[in-house]
Amino acid sequence: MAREIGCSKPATQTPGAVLQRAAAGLGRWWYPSLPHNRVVVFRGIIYAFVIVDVLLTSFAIGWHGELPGELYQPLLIGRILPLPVPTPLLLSVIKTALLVFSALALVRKMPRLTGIAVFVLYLEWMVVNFSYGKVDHDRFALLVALAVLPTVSPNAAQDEGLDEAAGWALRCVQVAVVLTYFMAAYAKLRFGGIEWLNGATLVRAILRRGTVVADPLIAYPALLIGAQYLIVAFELASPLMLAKGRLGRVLLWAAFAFHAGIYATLRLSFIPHLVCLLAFLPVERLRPPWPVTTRRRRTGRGSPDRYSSQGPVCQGSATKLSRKALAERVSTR
Amino acid sequence: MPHFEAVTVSGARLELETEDLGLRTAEVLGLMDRFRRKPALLRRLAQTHSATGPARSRLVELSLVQGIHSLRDGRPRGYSEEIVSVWRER
Repeated sequence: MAREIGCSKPATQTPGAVLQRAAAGLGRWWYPSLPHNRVVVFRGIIYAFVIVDVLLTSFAIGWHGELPGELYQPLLIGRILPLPVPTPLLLSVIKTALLVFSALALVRKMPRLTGIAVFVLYLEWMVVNFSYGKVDHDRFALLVALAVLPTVSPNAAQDEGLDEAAGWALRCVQVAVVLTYFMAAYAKLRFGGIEWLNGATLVRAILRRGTVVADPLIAYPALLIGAQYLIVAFELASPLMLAKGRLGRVLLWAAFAFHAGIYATLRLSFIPHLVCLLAFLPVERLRPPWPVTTRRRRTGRGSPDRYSSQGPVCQGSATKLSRKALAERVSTR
Repeated sequence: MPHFEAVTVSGARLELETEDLGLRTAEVLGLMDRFRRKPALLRRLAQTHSATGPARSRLVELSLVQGIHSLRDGRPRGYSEEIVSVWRER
């Protein structure tokens, strides 16, 4: 008996079906299947950066322990939680613990536990940083990255495959990066109003910390006002960084160009934020100039697949073999 | 740009960057109103600074000074300073 294939009657578009499809689409967007290796490399960059940051770029936080306690105005989180007033001893302990746990997370020792420890310690480090009259917005994405990275599976056997958990973590960082820009535009318009665009913010910034590149621009206020329009336009358009294809790539490179321009003119580096911008790039393709060993799942000595996935020994240094075992394998070929 | 001006117990007058007192420039800008309302906060800063230096550099006066650039047609045309807050040892 012949069966009818295809259907001339259009599918019914019930609100429930539409909602279901939208939810499924959103789910696919929030949980893209990305290479697990990408988040592994990104995680390494983030924890290495935390070490550099604690030692170099955020070292001034250590000064806060010496300041009078009356100047400590804790952020909302510091008013809700019973966080102590910073002292030199407290900050030394936090700094040391951050360095130790970041180093352990970097070498993937108990990555979930050490990752959570790094997040909690870095959050407190930032509460101290921002409780003396100034709050930076360039560390928001980094904090989100530290919060979500411990959720990624530490199983090295997955490194070569696709992973939705890795995709979710990277997507969270991407959204945090975009929100950093978008909310910066919102803050400008919220506190400065639409007149912020025609104000003297860049003039003030150049007078305060302009470089040799920026100093001559002070004579051209119209140019600086135009730059303010461009900055807000870029920040409002930043959600397009999440778009697929050329549009997203153009916005991403516009972000890098924006930061290069800001650094050249005002010496503002936004390094923590720039590190998080790497969440948009296929960082797993980066190859360091030194030989890399990739950890593989351990199998038992008698396991039949012990060497089955290792391939020819001359195809790189992906497997860990002793010199003796290596010599034996080479001699049998 | 804010900065601090100080007088030591030996009578020397110093101009101090905000970092010399453990604060970043933007933090001083954020705390400006508190310094204005409560000059005693400067005493605490001076005490902290004095504790780390030799006895003769102990501060007996500390002022917070704000530099003000005036603009005309969007271009800088003048510079003046406002003393925001002063603390003197009695």
